[in-house]
Amino acid sequence: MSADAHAVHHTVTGIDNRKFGMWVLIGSECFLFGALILNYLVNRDRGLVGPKATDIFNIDITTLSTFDLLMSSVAMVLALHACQHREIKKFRFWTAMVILGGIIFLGFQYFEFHHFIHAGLGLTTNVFGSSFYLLTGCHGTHVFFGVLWLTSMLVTSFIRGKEWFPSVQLEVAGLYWHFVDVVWILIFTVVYLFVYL
Amino acid sequence: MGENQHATVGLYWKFAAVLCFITFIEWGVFKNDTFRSNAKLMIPLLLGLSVVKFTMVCGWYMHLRYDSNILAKIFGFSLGLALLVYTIMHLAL
Repeated sequence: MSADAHAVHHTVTGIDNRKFGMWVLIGSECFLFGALILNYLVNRDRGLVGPKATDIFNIDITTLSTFDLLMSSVAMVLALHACQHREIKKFRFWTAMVILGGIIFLGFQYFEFHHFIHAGLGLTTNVFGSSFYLLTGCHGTHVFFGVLWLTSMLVTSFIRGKEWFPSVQLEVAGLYWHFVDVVWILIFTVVYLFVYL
Repeated sequence: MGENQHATVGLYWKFAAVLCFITFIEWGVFKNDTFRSNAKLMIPLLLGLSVVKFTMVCGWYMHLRYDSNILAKIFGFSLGLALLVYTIMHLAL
């Protein structure tokens, strides 16, 4: 067993402090994204100038990016499973797949933003644009930091060698990644699929 | 870290297939004019499908189903309170 696997803290709850802390963070993030989604719902039809959501949204592209993020979540659980079972090649491969999925998602988001800006919807064009970019941009920033976090773990894995299996750290990073995924599940439905409602 | 000892790689892949299938259905519902013109049908259907996906990811991929109840209570309380507060605000605005 690696030193990390042995580093189990004795806590009142019986849960590792890092994992407990991540769940508390996720709880607080519910309020952050809830506020941003509400802000979008209230303001989406109040834009007096510029294009509307129905004019510019491309659901086919967004569905593809949703598939991509869902698949990255699968890769995340497979990476954790491999890490817990001390399978170094699979651990590194699936972690790399999560990172790749995150980068592809950010690529889709860049493509979407680029298209919207060329269609005349900037950050300050109208309240719909502001609330849309604030919500999806905040989510994209979370994805970006998740990619950085997992990349640092993958690089560390190569530096520390084949006996480094950071199960707890990877599980905490995985919780963050899955939460970003479930937030996108809600954004995909409420923002994109309800565009005509 | 034996909390997710009940979950297997096969189960993760099955869930991945179901999640993709549900997303495909959501896309199909969106493209269907019958659903698109009927908000009373489309809203609960799409919300229901997203809740199923949400529950699957939280329950199995985030291991809430296997982990300590305290974690599920923290998440459930936060999510429930956020939903309550923002629903009231949405109705008021």
